Amino acid sequence: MTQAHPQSTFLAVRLSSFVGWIAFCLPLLGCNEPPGSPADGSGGAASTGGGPSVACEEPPLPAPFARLLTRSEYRRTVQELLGTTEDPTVTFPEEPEVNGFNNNARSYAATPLLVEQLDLAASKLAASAQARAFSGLVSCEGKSERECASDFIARFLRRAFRRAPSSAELVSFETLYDRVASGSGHAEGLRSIIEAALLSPQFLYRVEAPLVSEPLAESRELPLGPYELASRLSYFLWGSMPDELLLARAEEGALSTPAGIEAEARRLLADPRAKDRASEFHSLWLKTNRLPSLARDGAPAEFGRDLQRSLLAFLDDVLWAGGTIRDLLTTEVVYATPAMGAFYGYATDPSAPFTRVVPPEPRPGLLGQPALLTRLSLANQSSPIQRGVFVRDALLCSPVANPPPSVNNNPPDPQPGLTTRELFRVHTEFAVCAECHRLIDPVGFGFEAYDQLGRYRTEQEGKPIDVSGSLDEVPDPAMAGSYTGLGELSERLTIGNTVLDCVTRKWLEFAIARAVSPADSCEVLASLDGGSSDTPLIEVLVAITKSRPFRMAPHSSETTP
Amino acid sequence: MKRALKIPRRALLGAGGAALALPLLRSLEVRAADPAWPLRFVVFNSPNGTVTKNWFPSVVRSEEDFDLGKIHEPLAPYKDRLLLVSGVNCHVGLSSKGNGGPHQRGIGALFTGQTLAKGEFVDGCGSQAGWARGPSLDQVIAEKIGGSSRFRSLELGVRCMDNDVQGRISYSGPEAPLPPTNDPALLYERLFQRTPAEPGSGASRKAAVLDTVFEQFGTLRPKLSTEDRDKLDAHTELVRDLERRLGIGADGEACLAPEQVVGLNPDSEVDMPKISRAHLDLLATAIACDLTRVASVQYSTGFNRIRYPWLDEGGEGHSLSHSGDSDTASWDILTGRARWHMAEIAYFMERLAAIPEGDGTALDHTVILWGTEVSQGNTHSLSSIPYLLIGDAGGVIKTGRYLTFEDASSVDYLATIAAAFDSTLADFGDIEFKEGLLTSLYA
Repeated sequence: MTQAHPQSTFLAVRLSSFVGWIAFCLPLLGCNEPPGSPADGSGGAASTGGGPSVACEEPPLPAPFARLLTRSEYRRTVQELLGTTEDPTVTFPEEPEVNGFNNNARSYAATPLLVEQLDLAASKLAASAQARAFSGLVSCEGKSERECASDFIARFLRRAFRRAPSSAELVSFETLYDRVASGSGHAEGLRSIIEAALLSPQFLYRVEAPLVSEPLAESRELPLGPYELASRLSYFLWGSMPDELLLARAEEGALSTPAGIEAEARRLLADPRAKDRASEFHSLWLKTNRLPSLARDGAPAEFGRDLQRSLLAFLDDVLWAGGTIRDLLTTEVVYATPAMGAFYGYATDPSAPFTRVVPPEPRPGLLGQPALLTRLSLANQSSPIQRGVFVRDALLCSPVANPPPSVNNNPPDPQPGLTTRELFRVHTEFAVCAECHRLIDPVGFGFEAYDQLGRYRTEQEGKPIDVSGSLDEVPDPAMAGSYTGLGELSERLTIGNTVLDCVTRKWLEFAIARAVSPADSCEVLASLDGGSSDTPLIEVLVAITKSRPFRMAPHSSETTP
Repeated sequence: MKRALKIPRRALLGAGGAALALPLLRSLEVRAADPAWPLRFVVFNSPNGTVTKNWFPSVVRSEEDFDLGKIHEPLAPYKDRLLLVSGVNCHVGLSSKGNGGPHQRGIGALFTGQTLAKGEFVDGCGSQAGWARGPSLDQVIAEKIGGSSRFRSLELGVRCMDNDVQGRISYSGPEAPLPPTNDPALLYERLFQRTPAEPGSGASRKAAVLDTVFEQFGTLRPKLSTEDRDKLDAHTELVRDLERRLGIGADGEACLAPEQVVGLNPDSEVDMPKISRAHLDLLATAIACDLTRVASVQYSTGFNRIRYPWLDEGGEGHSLSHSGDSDTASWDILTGRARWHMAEIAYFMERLAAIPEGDGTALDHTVILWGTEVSQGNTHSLSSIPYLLIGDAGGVIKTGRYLTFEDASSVDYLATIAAAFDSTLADFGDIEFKEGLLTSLYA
């Protein structure tokens, strides 16, 4: 189904190095550059949603970098592995944020502080397992201490390393046990095994090599090994280690076909662990983690935390109820906490964390959520700029070029008698600003009926709010043109599969921890016939697990043992 | 010029938190016999530029005879230890090379002298950039002077919550930023609540654990790609370094752990002054105990929107810093905030001055560099970056002066400071923006 793109040869060369790959994935859309031109990198997208004959470029896959567990992955993994509720990661440093995500495999590397905290965490976790007499981990009944230890090592390493341990690894840990137990006793020996396992790179990193039974003469793409694929699935959908069933399926070879992968993906998605992971994705994609500490004039205390929970509840509902992009963008529902009810004038149940409210004012979907409108504001006024940039970046994956460094790009302070739209007139009056801002401001102006705390308003400074705007130079010309109000903008965004394609790219980036291109999402959506705004979002997650970028990796002859 | 000498380790710190009411003992005679003291280096950063007219000396009669600007009044007792400069420009940020908006470029180059790589960090105005393309000054200096202390360097943050280019000032190498510790309670634990090495059989148990861990790194290594091998080798090296450093104790006659400050919220504006003091107390102690010789302290992040509710009701700093030049009320508020940052440095200097070292104090053996990512918020100017240098680096730098440059590159300025610690560091920074050391800084 590959159809050669005119640039494909050129791209293949560029993509052979990761640096070239990054360069390709950068937003190259100049302000004047019409979308869809070869330079903007969107040429490969299945942008019209066609039939089964969707053609994708299928560029060579970059070799995956070893993936260090993120804080949340480490937390869930040790809790599952050791049967504890301890969370040693609160003192771990934050991961670097790349393109909004915190798991970028290339950028996330050990630092002195992280190594120090990992060491402390391993000591503490091993000591508390010992304090619990290793209950649930070790069973010595009817065995000698030495037999019991060997048995524990084999079972524990299989779970800690997420694969069958090699005989060399078993010997190494048995030697450790013998060294410690001979002087300090059995329990100290077991504790040392846990501590060493938690500090081992086989635990801390996921190295995703394809399965190769014998050395290959030349490099080519192969499916990931079954254990690697099992971990990819569980860390993508749960943010944690594979469960026993998934490891068993991997060992049986059940993950060798897309159908087998799909069956496991659906099983994992039906597990409550998937909810927490999806919320983590939503938090990163929409940057909700900044909400609790946002300073906003006139906000009740702790309001940001309520807003964050409210937005995540809305997204949860859309995703898990089988919702689509249309549902995401047009459902007029707010999950209001009691504090939000009091602030926005909604009747809420004071004893429930949330009340599902159908607001009296227009609140179209995601863009109408009070939390999002608040985040995309300044302390003392709404921000048409941030709102316009958000639509282009987070929903259209079609960012506008940076302002030149010499520009003083400070937002003007509110002026009595002027609406926000009037304040930003400078952007359209000066050609140098207008060149880019014509693509940003007219998108953001449609949000003007909501202030810096997401409150609905019909007038500002004594003048009626003007909510007219326009959406120009977007990936799909069918959605371009002028519109009035957030409702019409949201409807416009449901045309074609552009937003679905963008959200797919975000999910895929989260899943495979590298920058992705339109060619990658094209392959994912190909199995959904290109997808549309009526494709259930949950199907995108399943489609990702079956796609080539998720389940394959290049085998390089360099790494053949 | 005098150089730091290695201080022999005599005593290991005996135990964890409980024993800390007592001074952490070290033989006084040993230290008294040392001919020289280690040099220390601490960088400070606070965001959004300064108020230029109150930053530079108000009256200048000569290089050595000038009146401090209003912002520097809290540092007046230390005037002879200061070296002020004007005309040090961020050529790196002003050039077309590299990526990012002014705050990003400014903070990226501030202590690295490097442009920003391509990347996906978006600033408040939509500019995009990645990390700085080289190590920061504190880290190259730590490579030279931080080897024999428990912590090669400490990175501290006072509500420095953004994990992107505007939230980092220290880099161990190209695109390798170091995250700060924001919670003083955690800093306390790192410094004082961890026994350097488990005593007796515990030490041999830990050694056995780490031997096994190193074996696992060794087993995995041949299966890795070149990039991954580099990454895991670096990780292995950090574990080895940690193991070695855990054996290093705390010592020094003034090495007395302060009370642990708990219950502060690292993400709260209101707690910022308390966090600042707790961090500075701990850092001064860490220096007294020779637990570290190099540190960076970052207050909030570039382009932040924090308020200073303990000082004024002026609202958030970034918008305020954009006020027009005629808006004197706003500029008074910003001047007050800038003075507060200088007062924090003065407090830190006071703490160092209370640590006796030979004929002098730890303050005599410490170099402090403060900088902000743009000169003044309402212009976003990357010209005349208001760097403040404190301390003579063992007689190398001639302080008590205000030097004006026509158009010096900040890379040369940083390299000149680096070379004061070790002449081999003269090549610091992006060579494209270097014209030669600013030797007029030297004695």
